Order: sequence, then structure tokens, then C-alpha cells
Amino acid sequence: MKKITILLLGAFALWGCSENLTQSPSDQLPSGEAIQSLTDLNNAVNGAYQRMAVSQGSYAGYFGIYADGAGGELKYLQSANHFSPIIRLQSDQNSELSEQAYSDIYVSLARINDILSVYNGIPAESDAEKAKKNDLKGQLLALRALFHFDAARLFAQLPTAAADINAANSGVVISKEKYAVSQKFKRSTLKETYDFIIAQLVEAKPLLSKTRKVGKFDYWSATALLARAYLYTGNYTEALKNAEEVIATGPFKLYTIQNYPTAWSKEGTDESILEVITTDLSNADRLALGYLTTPDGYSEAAASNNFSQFLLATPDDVRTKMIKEYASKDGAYLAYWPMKYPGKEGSISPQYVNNPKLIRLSEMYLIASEAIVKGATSSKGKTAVDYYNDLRSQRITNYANAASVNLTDILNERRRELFCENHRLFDLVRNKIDIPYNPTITGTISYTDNRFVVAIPQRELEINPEMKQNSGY
Amino acid sequence: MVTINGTIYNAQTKEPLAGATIKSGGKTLLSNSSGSYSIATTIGSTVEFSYVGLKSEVFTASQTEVRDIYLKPSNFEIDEVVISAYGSSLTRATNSGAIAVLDGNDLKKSHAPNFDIALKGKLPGVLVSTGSGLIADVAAVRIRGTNSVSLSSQPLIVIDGIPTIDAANLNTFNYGNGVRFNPLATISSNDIETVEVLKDASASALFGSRAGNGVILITTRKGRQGAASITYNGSYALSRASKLPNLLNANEFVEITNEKASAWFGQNTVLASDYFVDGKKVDTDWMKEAFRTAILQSHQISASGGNARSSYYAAAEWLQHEGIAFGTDYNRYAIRANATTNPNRWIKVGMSVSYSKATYNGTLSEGYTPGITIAAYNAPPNTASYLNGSYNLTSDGMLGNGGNLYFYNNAKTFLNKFNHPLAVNSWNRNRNTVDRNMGYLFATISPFQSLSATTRIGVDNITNLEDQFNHPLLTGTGKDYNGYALVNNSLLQQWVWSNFVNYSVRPTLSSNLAVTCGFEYTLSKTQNILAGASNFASPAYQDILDNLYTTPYSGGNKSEKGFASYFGRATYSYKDKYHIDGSLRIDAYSGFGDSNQYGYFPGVSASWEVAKESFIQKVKAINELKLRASWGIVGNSSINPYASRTLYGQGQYADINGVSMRQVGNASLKWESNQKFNIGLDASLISRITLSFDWFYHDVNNMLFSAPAVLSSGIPGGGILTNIGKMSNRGLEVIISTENINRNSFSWTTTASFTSIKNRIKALAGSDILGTNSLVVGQPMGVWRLYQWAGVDPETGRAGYFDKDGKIKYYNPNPAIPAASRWSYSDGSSASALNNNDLKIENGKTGTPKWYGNIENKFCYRNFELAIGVQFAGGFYVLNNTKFGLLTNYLNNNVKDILNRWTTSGQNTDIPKLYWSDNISLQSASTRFLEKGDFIRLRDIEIAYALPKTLEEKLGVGARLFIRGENLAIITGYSGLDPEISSYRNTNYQAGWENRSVPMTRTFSIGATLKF
Repeated sequence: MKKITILLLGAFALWGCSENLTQSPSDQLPSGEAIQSLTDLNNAVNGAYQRMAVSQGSYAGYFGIYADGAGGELKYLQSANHFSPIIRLQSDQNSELSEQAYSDIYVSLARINDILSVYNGIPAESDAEKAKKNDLKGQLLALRALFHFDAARLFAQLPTAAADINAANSGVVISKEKYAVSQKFKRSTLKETYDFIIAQLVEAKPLLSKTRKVGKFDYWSATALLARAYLYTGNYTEALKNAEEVIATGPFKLYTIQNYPTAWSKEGTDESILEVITTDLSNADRLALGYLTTPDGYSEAAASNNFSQFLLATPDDVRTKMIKEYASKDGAYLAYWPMKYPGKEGSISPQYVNNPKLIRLSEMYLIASEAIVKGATSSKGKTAVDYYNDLRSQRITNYANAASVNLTDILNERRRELFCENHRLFDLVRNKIDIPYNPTITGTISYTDNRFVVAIPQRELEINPEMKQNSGY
Repeated sequence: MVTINGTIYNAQTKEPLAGATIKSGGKTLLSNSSGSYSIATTIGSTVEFSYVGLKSEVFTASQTEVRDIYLKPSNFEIDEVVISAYGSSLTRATNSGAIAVLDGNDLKKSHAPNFDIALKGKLPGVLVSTGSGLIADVAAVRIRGTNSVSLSSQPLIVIDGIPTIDAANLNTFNYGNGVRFNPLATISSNDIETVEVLKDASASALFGSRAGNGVILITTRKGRQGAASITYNGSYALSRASKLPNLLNANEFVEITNEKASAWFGQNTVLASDYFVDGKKVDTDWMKEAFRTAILQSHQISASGGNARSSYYAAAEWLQHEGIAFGTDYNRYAIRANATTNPNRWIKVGMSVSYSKATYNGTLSEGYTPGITIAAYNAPPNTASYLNGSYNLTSDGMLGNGGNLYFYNNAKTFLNKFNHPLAVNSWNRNRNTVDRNMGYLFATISPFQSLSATTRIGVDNITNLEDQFNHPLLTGTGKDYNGYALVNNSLLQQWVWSNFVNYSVRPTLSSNLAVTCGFEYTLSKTQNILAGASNFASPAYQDILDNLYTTPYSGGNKSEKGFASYFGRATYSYKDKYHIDGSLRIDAYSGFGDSNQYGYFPGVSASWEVAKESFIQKVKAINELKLRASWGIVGNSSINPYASRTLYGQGQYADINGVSMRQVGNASLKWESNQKFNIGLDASLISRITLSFDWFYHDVNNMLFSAPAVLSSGIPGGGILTNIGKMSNRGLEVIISTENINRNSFSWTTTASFTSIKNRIKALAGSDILGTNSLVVGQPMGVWRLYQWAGVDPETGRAGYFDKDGKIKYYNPNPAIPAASRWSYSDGSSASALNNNDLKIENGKTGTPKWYGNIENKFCYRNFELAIGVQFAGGFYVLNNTKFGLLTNYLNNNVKDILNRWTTSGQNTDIPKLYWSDNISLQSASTRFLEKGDFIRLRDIEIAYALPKTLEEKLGVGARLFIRGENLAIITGYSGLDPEISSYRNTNYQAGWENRSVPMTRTFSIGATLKF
């Protein structure tokens, strides 16, 4: 009896322990198993875009209007301390902006690098599959460029305004492969940073499909981003070349006076070269652009008095409709509120759901015009004022062509055209122009002011001794 | 020869004891099923009566007589089995570990539906924080200190040998209308026979990687051999808040509000004015609106009995409790059946099934603006709760502002609006419906008397249907989404299959060896399935029914974890004087990293019964003296089931499928380990005093922290779980019971316990973690880090704080002063604004008591019994954030303290001059709101009456009636609602915040136990 009992128990024991120690989650997979096919790869690339749509530190959140806030175009009516510190230039190494934007960028980069580390092993047989696979790689490289560009614009000086682009630690950390957990990082030089951004886009372009994609990188959006990157580095010839390529051969056309006001609640409009898609299920919630820019939301980003006066001075311009004076439902916070984030058509929570437009065709016209003003020569035989007039004639009723254009005109035009699209501060600084106005600070602020370069998050410095902080923090 | 006969009763319950042991002159008998006995012995022999869990009685036989014996309950002196795990029983004699035992009847002294609250202030080394007066709220149970920083610090709860599901809160959503729901509230206290708390490592080592926080063993009631009986337990109670904040009335509110406004916006600014409805001035007491006298009742009927071969217990219960917070209630139906049978000598089979159904309508409180506490505390008294027969609401779903402005200064300054404290609870819905089944079946085969083999399978199954609705006419989610309903079905399930062999031998006549070994397999599963809908056709439709809404949501998650465990224990006793015990458990857990899947948890203990040595036996004053020592290692494995892995998960973009890296894993992740030492002494003196003393030291290692990762590496969440922290808990426990008076008709006993505990952080991941509650190496967990309040300058009425160098700087909120020059020293020189550098660690001060204890006195006079329980604690500091929140300078109600604000030069006060929107003079994290929490509480008084035995026999009904008060009085210097309120008790180191939790309750109840 005893023997039998013990044998029986032994059998129980062996049977019991075999399988319950390897539990896998049903909604998540270990990385090795997650990406094995082209479909998996497609899903993973999709996932690499996600943070841009849902995180407060990225485009659908306050980074979407960062340069407008820090550049004096916005004021706050209520301080929920999400966007207002950006306007007040009060961010430091412990601020939400610093840590959130930094981590958004580098988490996205780590995801991209992780996907690229398994990219080569994914089978693609037919030509269609190979083309698809190439296109996915092109998207990853372009995204990698975009995120580095974002990091560089926030956390480093702009190259045309920097004293020495070869100075040690003047750029940002370049994240280009899958790293071990223990990896320590060092900042690159500004030159290395922008060289990397440009190289990624140059490599991406031939891989990408020329079929227009809404919400993702295609050949055209990579080209347009490249034009912008060249503009920032002062390579006006290449900036013009890429901008003209998009203008001349891309599938886009300028908004008209009629459809300009309605373009902002729609997806994939005529001018939209790259936009981030938000939905009722994936958005930045209360830190979304719509919630920041309405009086019934956080009420933290209304047009500053300086900007509204500037814009409203030309009443024939359709872009005057991009701000509107109104108050909250209770009648509070009366101000000129931006109208570029009115809520995507069909969404239930319009304050949360707005597709930020990262690159529009009009910007290409303005880049082309600026590049020519700065000495580049058009291969299409166009002059700076041609591009300037082409754009303005689609914006102003009864427009009469201008005879000439200078940098000031172009910057004013950018100010009107690209309001609340994250350009103003960068446009001034890269042209070494002091910021003329801030609603909370008296007088002009030098373009070299430390506060225009966001601090590297404090914790990054604490655990990464080779990391260097930006000056002034 | 004389013959003594009579009946043996339980002195407390007055029920006859079947199967009690009677010993005399080498003879041993048992009392029969009606408790009566008859024994023949010689004159001068001692006769000893004993029974499990009761104190033995001895007298010397002198004549033939009828003698009824009343055995009194013993507090810790349980003579028989004190711990039983996997069939290995330790008796009080052979036990060398640290164990505390509470009789199930003591649990009945708390009206709470969750029995853990009844442990409050009862046992040495066990600290229970109720947290708030919210019904069925989660309580923090800390056995010998908090033994983890990041993981759960709740003990493992084992019911009849089966570990239960370890969820701390059955409510999945803590946002929106989320509430807390204690899983223990599904278990009927009336079904509990005893609660045993295993405090040291040797007692709990058999539970291995889950015993780091101690183990609570619950034994449910079983049938006993003897006559069948039917018992009714019932009670009816009234409960109300023991203390509420003392808020301004309408006149005071108007005065204070306009005074704030005038200082800021300019003289004679009027933001608040009297408000009239139907010509009557409104002065709403929101405390009366939001809190009520709650009615509580519970009824239970049980039947039990048994014969020599089988026994059974079955019970059914109905409990209906209202919460003191408007709109909250809790209902429970529970049934249980326990039965065992051993048809022959070598096999025994037993089973237990229980089912309970509980519905809980909860509310938010604490930091949540729509919560009943913030809403009711902040609501202005010069507005009405009802208007035109309905709630007084604005078109945007807020409380109507009554006599107050919404905004000022041409709509440029928004003032404040409020959630309607009642509407948010009655129109919104957050209902939890829990079904819980627990059960087990075991079979024991004993081929020989010395050997038995058992297989036992147990299941614990909880489903909670969480049903929430946000009303479209109320501000927040409901308004934003035009009605928002959310239903989540959560399933928690755990299967435990144990197989073990018990063997005992007497190698020699004077020694005894007992061995247990076995294997256990545990599989736990959690699954949530969620469905939601918004944009409803009309406010009348509030459920997810087809075609009445436009936008559906769905979601869910699922996880599983498994344990495979091996264990063994050997207990050896020599001459019944020397005992040694060793145990080992090996746990393999699916959640640990691949390179650390197996954990080894050993425990050893030894004891020496000194009183049995001949040299002590001569000392008559010493009846018993035992020295104990133990050592062992137990673990805390309550990590996320997949914490060790690198994972790809949800990465949806543009509503199309996407995956993305969500977590970077650590393959060497393992349990937190807790090495525990214990030295103890038990003594019984002059037959009237028993005392027990323990010293313990816990060395907690491998504590899990998210080690900050370099952000540039892009690790999601910015950290990797790593076993790096170290901490210690050390302390003393004493418990003394004395029999002060013991006469036939009157007796008085006292039990007192005292515990002192010191906690210290020894290592962290990299740098200290600073916050209002900080983690600093060398300090106790959660040490306060605060601004140093220097009081109000009597000349200027400005608030002062000490800067980092100890100089006082004052803040001038006057809007005419530029922001940059508002801070100055008393000599007028400018000072820097208050900043993080001015925060100071309050050396050694935390929100967790450093010492605590209780004093229980019981008086019995004939059939009356009076029990008085006093509980005390000290050595802790509470941050009175409720007071902070009620002193703010915005449009919201204030505590009456604000009437003492500074107004005239030379006035001494601690409330600075009031300025609208001044939130800088008032700092929550400052010593201004840190108060000593020391208290003595009159925890309960119970007066009970038991029917005299003669009457009982005549009627055939035994009865015990009681009247009881709980939380009757408190003596404390703490000015807030209650020093035991701990609003963030789910975060281990955030103890000691009183942040607008639902107030504690004071309860009066009457009840009866009837036995047929």
C-alpha cells in the first residue's frame, strides 16, 4: 500500500510540473516571435508611428505647436502647466517637455532599430513582396530621420545658428542600431547629426513607393522632409532641388481660397504631404492639439495678441479664418483661438482627434522661394517671387502679383501660412533673427537664448555620465 | 473512589462541548455529544479538562459531586494544533515559530464585511490600516512591518490550506467611476473558526516565494462529533461618520471669499453673495447632504453536526450594508458547506464548497474631483443641492454656482465650478457584481496509523462584472462622450493541486519525528473582457443595448502564471522538551527570468521547554517557560506574470493593426527575498499570567525596482525591473494575559499587546528616490520630505518658510508686486522663490506607526459579559492634506480654521492674509500640515448577555444577545479626521496621507446568536 501510494504521488508530481512554467502573454509576444513575416513587419512598422499619434510629447500633443508657443505666436488663458511653460520659456531638465519629448523620440527609435535588426531575415519572394519590403525599410529609415530631426530641433542648436557645428556634444545622440540595456550614449556633433538625418532620407528615397500614402512615409514625404533638412543645414541648392521635385512631380496641389478653410478637419487633403492619423481610439486625449487650443479644453494655446494683429491686418487673406474670436461655453477665456484643430470629421471627441499635418505643399513653395533668395538656382527656371506669388494667389482674394520678394517677406508668409504647425521659433532662429515678441516676457529675446534649446532630461545625465547638458541648465 | 459528573461548556459561547478531554489518574475520557461526562477517580487526584482552543481547567477531586465545567478561551495559549500546513501539524508544544492566533468569534466584533479589518488592533506584529470609512475598502495588512517597496505587501491568505487569489482590489478601473473593492469582502466572517498569522520564516517557509509578507491561515468552521445544532447569528447596526470636517456656513463663506477676492482683484470685489431660493436664503450643509446614518444588517444560519465517522457544516448568510457616503451600499449572499467522512480506518475524504454573490455600489473619493469627498467638501454652502425638484445643475453638468460668479474680469478669469456631490453618485453608476466560488476536495489514505498520503485539489474562482455609466448630463466623461457606459467582466481563477505524504515515528520512547513532503501545482489566470459604448440616443438609455448608441468600444487582457513547488518538513522532539523543525520549499514560477526560475526557501527553528527541566519544576511560580529561535528565507514573487520578458504588443496606428516593443526584459529577474530571524519566549506564571515575547529581524534583499535606464536607449517606460534594493525591519512584540479576578460569578481578564518596529532602507537602485514620501538609504521607507513652515509674520501676515540655510523667507502674494520680487527675508532683502532645494528630509519621520498595541479587558458577571477593546499606536506623522485642500484660496469651501486668518498687524495666527488664487503661501508638502499621529482609540465595547443554562434547557434554545459600539472615542493630538486614515495605502511607501478619504465610521449594533 505504502509503495503504491508513493509511486502514485511520484507520477502526479512528474505530470504536474511539465508545462505550467512557460506562460506566454496572449496580447504580447517575445520580440523574436513577433516579426517573422512581411505582415508582421508591416504591423511593426505601423507600430513605429504610434507614438506620434498618441503621445503628448509628439506631434498630436504639444510638440505639434511647440515652435509656435516658444516663438511668441501663442498665449495661454489658463495654466494647466502642460503647454503654458513652453510659452513662458520655463522648461528645464525636470520638465514634462524635456523628459516626455526625449523619451518619445528615443522609444520610437529603439522600436525602429529593433525592427531593422530582424529585417534581413524576413522572407520576400515575389517582386511585389520585395518592393513592399523595400518600402517598409524606406519608411523606417525616413522615420528614423524624422525622429532625429525632431530631437535635433528640440535638444540642440539649429546648425545655421550654431557657432560651431563640429563642436563636441553639439548634436544629439544618434540611435541607429539595437543596443544592449547597459549601453551608454554620447552626443554627436551637430554636423554628424544632420549628416545622419540626410543620409537616412537619401537612402530611404529610392526604397519608397511613389504611390501616395496618407499618414505614412512615401517617396514624396521623404523628399519633402529632405528639402526641409537641407534648408536647416544651409544647403539651399539641395533644398531647392528636393522642394521643386515635390512641387513639379508630386501628386499634390495647393489648397484654394475655397477649400483652405475646410481642409483642417479632413484627412489626406490636396496639400498634405505627411500627416499623423489620429482616431477616436488612438489620440493624445487631453494633451491633444484640439484640447490645448480650445477654450473648453485646457485653454493653454490661443493666438497671441501680436500674432492676431499681424494676421488680421490683411483681411483679404483666407488665412485670417485660421483664428477666431470666441469664448468657452460659459463665456470665459475670450480670445482668438486657432482653427487648425477643429476636430476630424466624424470623430466623437473632436478636441482629441485632429490629424497634425507635418509637411504641406505650401511649405515646399516657401522653401523653394527662400532657397532661391539665399542663392540657389532653380532648375525649372523659376524665381523666388514666382513661388511666392503662386502660393499667395491661392490665399488672397484679388491677389496682385508682387514684383520681388525678400527674406522678411518669406518669413512673414511662413508665419501666416504655417501658424500652429511647429515652425515659427525654428524659422526665426535658423535665420538668426531675435524673437520679437513673447506674451509673458517684455522685449525681444535673442535667438541665441539658452531657453530655445530644451534641456536634456536630468535623469539622463545622472545615469549616463558621458552625456552633456545644454548650456544654461 | 469518588465519581464526578456534569457538563463541560465553552465559557464564552455557553455551548456544551462534545469531545472535550477529561484526564485523571491515568484515565482519559471524552465528553459525549451533549457535553456531559462522568469520571471515577480517587480522592486527592487531579482532574484535568481540556479542549482545542480553550484553556484547561484542573481541580483536585475531594468528593463525589456534580460539577459543570466552563472552559474559557485562551488568547494565544492554544493547547492543541496551532498551525497546519500540508497535513503537518504543529501543536503549541512542538511549535518553535512565531504565530498569532485569533478566535473566529473575535472577528464578529467588527461590523465590516471584510474580516481583515477585524484584525485591527488585535494581534501583536499585525498592523491593519483601514484607510477610510468607505464600505468594503481595501485594507492594508502589514505583518511585522512593510516588507516590500514596489511589490505587494499584503500577506498570503490561505483558506483551509488553499492559497487564495492574491488580487488586492477586484475593481479593474480606477479611473472614471472606479472604486476599490476588497476581495476579502466576499467571505463571510461567521464561517471563520480561527485566524492564524504566521509571522516568522520557519512558520511560513512551507509557502515559499509567496510568504515574504507573512501568511494568514483561515480555518473555516467544521462540524464536530456530537449533537446536531442550528445556529443563527444576526446583527443590526447604525453607522455614521465619526468626524467630519468643520466647514464654513454660507455667511462665513461669502465673507471669506470676498475678502480673498478684494485682496487680489481690488477693494470691494464681490465674487460670492447670498443666494435665495423661493425667498429663502440658502445655507447648504454639504456634509449632511453627502454623508448619512447608514443601516447595516446581517443574518446567518448554520447547521453543523457529526458522528464518529462524518461531520458537516453548512451555512447561509445575507448581509446588507449601506455606506455612510451617499449612494454607496454593499450586499452579500453567501453559502458554504464543509463535510468530511472516513468510512473506514484508512481513508478519509472531505470537501468544501462556498459561493458568494456580492453587489457593491461604490464611489470615488480622495484625489478625484468627481469623488464624493472633494465634491462635497469643496461645494459652496451658498448654493442649493436641489432646484425645481431636481439636482441643481448647470447646462454643462456642474453644480449650479448659486450665489457665486463663474468668472470675473470680463470672462478673463475663470473662478471655479464643482461636481454635484449627489448627482455624481446617483446618476453615474459604478456597480460591481462579484461571484466567488471556492472549493476543494481531498482524499487521505492512511495505510498505517503513522503514514498518510493526501491529494487535494482546490479552486478559487472570482468573476466581477463591473458596470459603469457616466451620465451625459454630468460634466466629465459623460458629457464629453454624450453618455459613456463601460462593462468589464473580469475573471480571476486559481487552481491548486497539492499532493503530500505525512509520516511520523517514535524512533525511541522519548523522541518523536514527523516528516512531510509533497508537491504542489498552481495555475492562475486573469482575464478581462471589456465592452463600452458612448453617444447614447438619450440619457434614458444607459446600457449597452443594440442601436441606442453610436460608438462601441471593446478590449481586454489576459494573463496566466504557474507555480510548480516541492516542499518538505521534518519536526523532531526529544523528551517533549527539545523541539527542532526544518523545512524547505522549492518554487518554480513562470514569471521569473529564465536564468532564475527556481527559488529555494529554507526555514529552521528550535525550542526548549525550560519549565519541564527538573530545576525549574521546583519553582512553583513558573508553570511554563519556553525559549524559541527561528531562521528562514521566504520570498515575494508578486511580480507581473511576464515581467522578465522582452515583449511586443499593441502598436495600433490609424486604427490598423500594429505591434510595437512594449517592454524590455530582464532574464535574471527573481523574487524578492526576506531573511527572517526570530527569538521568542513563552511563559505562564503563577497560573494567572501568560506572556509571550518575540524579537525579530527581517533582512529584505533583491527588492525590485525599475532601475532607471538611459532614455537614449529607448527602453519603454524608461526602466528595467531589477532586483537591487535592500531593507530591514526589526522589532519587538510582547503580549501579556492576566487573570485578575476569577471567582465563581465574577471574572476579569486583561490582555495587552505591544509591538515596536523599525524600518530602514539599506540600498536602492542608484540614487535616492525623492518625493513627499522619499526613499532614502539609511532612513525608513517613505520618510517625509517637506518644506519647513516658519509661520505667519505677525506684522505683515505673510507666510514664511525656512530656506535651506535655515533663514526665514516670506512670500508676498500681492498682485501689485512683480513676481520676481515676492520673496524676501525679514530684513527686506530679496530671497529666491521656494524651490526643491528648500525641501528637507524629516529625519526618521514616516506615516507608519513605530509602535502599536492594544488592551482588551473582559469582565464576566453571572450571565453578563463586558468587553472593552482599546487600541493605540504612535511614532508616526500624518500629512493632513484634507486640511490643506480646505484652506485653498480659490472658490471652494474652507474649514473654519480660515476664520482665524491674518487681518491686522500684530496678530498671531498660522493662517496668512488671504489673497485670491494664492497657491504659493499654501504648500501641501510642508511641515505646516504634518502632524503627530499618536492616538489611543476606544475601539469597541460589547455588553453581552447569555441565557442562563437552566432556561436554555427549558426552552431548548441557547441565546447570546449583545449590544456593541465600535470606534467610540479617540484621544489624539491630530487635528484631522482620523490619524489612521491612509489615503494611498496601496503604494507601500505613501503611508500617512489623509487626503479627503471618506471619513471613518462610528457604529452601534445589536445582535443575537441563537442556538437550537
